[in-house]
Amino acid sequence: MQRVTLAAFAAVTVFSGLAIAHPTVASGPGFANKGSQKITFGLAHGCDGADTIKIKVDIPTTVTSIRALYSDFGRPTITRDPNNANPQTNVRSIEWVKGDTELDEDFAFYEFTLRGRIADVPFTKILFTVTQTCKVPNASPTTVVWDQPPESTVGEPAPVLNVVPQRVAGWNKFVLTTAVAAEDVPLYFADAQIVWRGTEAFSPNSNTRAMIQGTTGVTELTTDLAVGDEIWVKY
Amino acid sequence: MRALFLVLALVACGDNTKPTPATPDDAPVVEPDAPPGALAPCLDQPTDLPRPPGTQLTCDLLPPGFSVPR
Repeated sequence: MQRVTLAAFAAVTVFSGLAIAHPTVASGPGFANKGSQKITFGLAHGCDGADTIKIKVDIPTTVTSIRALYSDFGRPTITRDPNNANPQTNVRSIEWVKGDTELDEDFAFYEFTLRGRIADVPFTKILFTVTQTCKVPNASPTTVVWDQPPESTVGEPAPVLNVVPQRVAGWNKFVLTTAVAAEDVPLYFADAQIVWRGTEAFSPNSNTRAMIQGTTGVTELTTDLAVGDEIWVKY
Repeated sequence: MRALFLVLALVACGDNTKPTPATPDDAPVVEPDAPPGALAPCLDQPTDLPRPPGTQLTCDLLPPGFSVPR
């Protein structure tokens, strides 16, 4: 019994460690159908106490016109699709390799940035597969592949870029071309003042949410948004 | 001649003491086509000072064309 308990504790500890350490998109949401956007990946941890010495980011087909920025690791290198001669769409991955030796401990935070165009895919999530290689002095390198969707219970979660429509300050009207689950509404409208569908409203601001609840004739928006729904969003 | 100048000056100045119609400070200015008493978006009042809201949605948070009877 004690062995089972200890094994469960160890599993939780390992799982928690990986969950905290996963690479993330640190630059915030991307805008659909817009070029020249910087996408920055943050790497807060190495692998089980080992420093990161190499990172490879695979480029999804919905991100094109790739330009890679230099990082703390130095110059980037890219891999192109040999069957695609178009330089705007044939970058398949970017790799950054640390120029100097690994750190003795895992205490550094690294950022890696690319610039690109995001396709016209608003209200979707783009997953980037990241391959992280780590090393401690006098040991062999270890590799972790972060390629699973956030809801997956197996493997390691990939960094996710949330794509939102382009907007301007003030009122914006959108007709949805893709459904949005109710639980994702706060994700896509995190910086909106208020979102309306008919007489249903949502706000990420708790004070505005209280006003929605207190206004006669208005109800909280708590259900999925469907394709074709017309929404008004104020930023 | 002096009397004529005085009359012209009075006509030119007009009545500056007549009050202009004003909206009470605490009442939102709603769109003109909204039914009386309706919950409706408001027109911009750039000279107003921002104030904390009450318990109900303020008109600046209602989308264009929105109208719900209270």
